[in-house]
Amino acid sequence: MEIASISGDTVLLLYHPAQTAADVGQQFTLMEVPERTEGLVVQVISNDSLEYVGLQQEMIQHILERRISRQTQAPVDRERGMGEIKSLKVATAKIRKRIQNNAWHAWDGWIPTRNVEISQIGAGTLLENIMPSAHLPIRSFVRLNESTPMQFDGPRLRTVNVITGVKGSGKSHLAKHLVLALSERRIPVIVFDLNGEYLGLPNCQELCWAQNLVLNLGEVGYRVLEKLVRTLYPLPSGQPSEAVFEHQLPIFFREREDYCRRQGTPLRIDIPYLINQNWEGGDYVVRAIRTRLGVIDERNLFWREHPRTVDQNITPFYATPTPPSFQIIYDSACEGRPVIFDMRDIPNSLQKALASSMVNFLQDICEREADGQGRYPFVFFEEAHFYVEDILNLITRGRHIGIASVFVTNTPQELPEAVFRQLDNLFLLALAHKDDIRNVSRNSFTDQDTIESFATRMPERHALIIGDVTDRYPLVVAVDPLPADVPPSGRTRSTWDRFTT
Amino acid sequence: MSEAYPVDQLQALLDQLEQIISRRDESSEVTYRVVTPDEVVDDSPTGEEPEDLESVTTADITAPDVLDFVPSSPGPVVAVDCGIARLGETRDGLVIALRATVVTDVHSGSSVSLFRSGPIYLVNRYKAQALHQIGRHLGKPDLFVELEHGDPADAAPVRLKAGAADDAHQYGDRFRNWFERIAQRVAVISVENGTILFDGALTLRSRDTPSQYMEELAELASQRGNAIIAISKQSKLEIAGRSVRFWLDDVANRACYRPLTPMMRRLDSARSERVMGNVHAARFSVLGPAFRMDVKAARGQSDDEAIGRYCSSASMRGGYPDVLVRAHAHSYFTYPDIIQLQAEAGARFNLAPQSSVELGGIFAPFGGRFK
Repeated sequence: MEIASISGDTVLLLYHPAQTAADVGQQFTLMEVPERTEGLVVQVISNDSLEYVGLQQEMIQHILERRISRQTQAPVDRERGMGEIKSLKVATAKIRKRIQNNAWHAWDGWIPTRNVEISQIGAGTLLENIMPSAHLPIRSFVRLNESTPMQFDGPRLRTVNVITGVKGSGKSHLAKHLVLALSERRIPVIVFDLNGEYLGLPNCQELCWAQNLVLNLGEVGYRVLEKLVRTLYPLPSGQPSEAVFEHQLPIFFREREDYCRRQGTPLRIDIPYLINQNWEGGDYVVRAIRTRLGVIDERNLFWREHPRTVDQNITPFYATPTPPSFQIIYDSACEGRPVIFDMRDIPNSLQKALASSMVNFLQDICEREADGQGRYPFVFFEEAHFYVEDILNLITRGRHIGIASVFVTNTPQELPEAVFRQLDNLFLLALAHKDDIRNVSRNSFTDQDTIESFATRMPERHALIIGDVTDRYPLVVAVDPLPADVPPSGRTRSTWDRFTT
Repeated sequence: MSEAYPVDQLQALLDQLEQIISRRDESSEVTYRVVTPDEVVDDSPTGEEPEDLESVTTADITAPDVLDFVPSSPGPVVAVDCGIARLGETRDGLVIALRATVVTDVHSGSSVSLFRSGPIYLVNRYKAQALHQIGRHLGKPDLFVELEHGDPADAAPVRLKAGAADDAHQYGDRFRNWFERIAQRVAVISVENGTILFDGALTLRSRDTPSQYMEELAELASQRGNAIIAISKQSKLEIAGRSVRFWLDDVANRACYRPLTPMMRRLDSARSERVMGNVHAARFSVLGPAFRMDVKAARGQSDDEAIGRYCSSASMRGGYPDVLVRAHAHSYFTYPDIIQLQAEAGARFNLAPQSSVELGGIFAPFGGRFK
């Protein structure tokens, strides 16, 4: 292997595949000889066949010879090296690190001469030099070079994480690994599961609104309700009804809190109570507000002081005399039982509303945790592109609030730019669409060439990981199979199944 | 928010009113009301304030579920009632007497406050001035009268508004209502964390009480943690074509209540807004009748809690709150009361009795005694 050229941070390496393998994602050291104390670490991002002078004439000659001659024989042929030139390849590599006296540093622009010794870097050496030491490791679920397990330092999975790839590339598979690994560390994990991908995870709490989950308005607070109204049935923007609602709703909550405090009872409040309040602004405004509250009440998302008889008959769950507590569910999540919000059967608009409302509530939980144990959650947003606009606040303020997010999407171009600008870790599986690649490349970790090269050449069950967990070094890893007790991801119903069973 | 009227100010208000409307220079002939020795008198109109809107009769609407009374910690209960007696009529006016009662039941016992106006001579030619004063006391000077242009606080009345007091009955009843509202204002601030019981309904935008006054009553009550509950024995309100007192027919022999406001809102939201608080049909004991019950809970309190506290605090007599019965017992006039008040009116207002026509003989024997 030889250096063909170095231009900017791109190194072209000429090699014969019989001599050296230089697959995409592999790393090499280029150590200046004879001292071998200065050098570079480069990573192959693509391979091309070698273009050389006379190639065209050579090919024309061979084709014409085969066309004209009926039989070609070489009774004496001692040109044994002939044709090997066609096997040569050019690997395009990116400079990742500089080596000085055997220590790896960030690359500062220094380049070696062509007089170098090129060696492949073993997995152990690579991890030793680039991976931050894992003070609070989470269980390993990826391997470098198919064999060397990698451990992530938990605290480096910070605020904004993205798992992206085309359909079937293994996003949910990777995400499930993360959910399980975090839960094992007793990190509270909340998953908004739009497709039922996460159902059946061992030890998880599967919750479905209006079936086995009703929220206690007194616990989740008025902002959840306000958000639901704003998302589902918004009052006319800038109109008195909107102003009255946003002004009076907190007041009614506060009055109710004061009353319950004076009575020495926990806060109990439901939507019928709010409907009965003295909303101001005239008949039109009052009707607009009450109508919206009534419609939300009909959806059975919130606990009621007096459950309707019809609801009790359908689901005895509603007949609880005391309001349910999400805090109990959250406490269980902190003990290693991830919460999966099953949103399969919920209309899209309600999915958005519930996700953003719950995020509001989780912020309140974080406020409490700030004064307590600091059990801040990891929130997974499956198909995040559907509702990310409604939770944008989480991206910009997540690190102040304490919530860490994992956005799982096959359409990264629909994620807001802020996601990639604030990105802490990227888990990239196969991508094909140029717009998606361009969007993913907006992160500050690496260049578009790297993303494009890896994303379009990613082997099955492999992922590129880059971000704080790899100290910004792009690593291509193999993802382990899921544990035996975890249902497989991406099971698709098909009419063809009946012919194969 | 103006302050509640203290009791001593009520006395001053009555004196002031008497100066305006009872000025008499010459003697008038009066036809006194005839009462029989076993008669009790309360000329208050029955039922709540009539509503202008027609009932909506959409029958196909789901009624809210019936709810049971949920006991809670008891609190004080205050009941207010007011009676009027028309003592007699003159050529240019009407003589009335008013009685309001505030009964307070607290843990330590019961107390009764009586407000008794004595005879009031309502002279027709001062009707505008008198009703103007009442309007002012209720916070709306032009409630019954049209005013001169200018600052409404200082403007003089020009003429009566149509429907303000078209006849002697209405004229007298405007005073009765005013008197009752003042007693209610005393009642709502007399206890804390309790229940204030009114006789009637909590109708807003009524002909005789400004909404603002009612809302101030509620605010004063709420500041002290009191809920206002009004119980109407003879409600005229119909919802989905059914009178309120028939809205518990599907649950006979059960003490319970049913919120009706949700239905009213669906049928006619404007109409539901004419009630301060929420309307319920309520039956307070197993064999008792159903009443209309309007509930205006204290700030932060739910209707159910207000109702629960009331039912845990008030004893019932035949399915009706005993405290309200006692308030009523002190607000009507007996035969001796009437004749003494008539005597006092004659002396104070220089009235010469005129014999009334006895119609009993004409109708005898066909119920002539009652004519």
